[in-house]
Amino acid sequence: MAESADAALISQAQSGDVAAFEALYKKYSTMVFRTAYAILRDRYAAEEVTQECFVRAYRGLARVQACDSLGPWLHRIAVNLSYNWWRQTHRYRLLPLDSLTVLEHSARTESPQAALYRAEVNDALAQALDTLGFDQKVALILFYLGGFSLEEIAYILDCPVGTVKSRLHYGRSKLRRTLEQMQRTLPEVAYEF
Amino acid sequence: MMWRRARRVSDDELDWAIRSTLRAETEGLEPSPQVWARVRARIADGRPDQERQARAVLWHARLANAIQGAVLAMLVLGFGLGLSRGFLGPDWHQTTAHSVPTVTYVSKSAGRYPKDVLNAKRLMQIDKQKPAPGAWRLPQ
Repeated sequence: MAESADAALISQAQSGDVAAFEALYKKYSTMVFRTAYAILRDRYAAEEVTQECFVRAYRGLARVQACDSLGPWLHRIAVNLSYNWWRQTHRYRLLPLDSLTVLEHSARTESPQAALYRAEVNDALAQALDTLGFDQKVALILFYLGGFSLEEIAYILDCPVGTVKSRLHYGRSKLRRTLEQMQRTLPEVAYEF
Repeated sequence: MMWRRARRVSDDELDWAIRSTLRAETEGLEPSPQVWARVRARIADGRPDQERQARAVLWHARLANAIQGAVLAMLVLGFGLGLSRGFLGPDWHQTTAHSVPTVTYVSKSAGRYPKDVLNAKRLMQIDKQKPAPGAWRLPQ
């Protein structure tokens, strides 16, 4: 149903209907923006990537077949743009200030203990994600945040499915070690108020 | 301070932790409305033409550089080949050595040797002449 709605919008946008393209933008921009943000951890960069992604999508819309789902295609553009951005700026590692507000967000709905544990896990894993290579990190983001299948991730990253599995495996192994190390070094007092 | 023993994190825990981390980082994030405004402006702007023109200029510049490089390479190559063929003129040859020695054929007729051909008698005369040390001379 969603794909047929996409197909109609795509064919309208291909004929120059900007309103149809705006509908596609509204449908996918948040997803693309969040993926770019998760990769780059920079709001400005994520907005630039989103903007460029949709401009290029509009120009390349003629190449899209009506039956295609637009999500993986848009993410492929966004990941390539994010890679370009990351390659230019990864030497200057900037930590966004809003990563410090995780505890405040989560504390609204959870008990203080659970919120604290969750915040510590999130913080440790976010740092561990930053230490992963670009390919492993993007594979994890697309799988866990984007909810894409292995085949879709393989299309987005332009690599075989086996490579995607390998990247997910090694990325998960590294994050698992981080979690286990965190549990080993976390003081008891953190769990028992 | 007490420390926890290391425990293997299960797959479910790991999945939960990764998903939770990524969602916490991006929860509630939306691109600002200016992003769509900029996208629409660029679409309506006809920027593809400008970019195409810029790309064409870039390609022309690259092509011009390539042609210049090729011409320069041909000039250098031509100059190098010209040196070996002596296009600098006859003076150049005066300082160069011939790679093929000149061969003088001597006729077999007796008593008609060229002056510069040494015979046994002449060699013996040379051997008898013992010049003083430091005064070596070629025989006349």
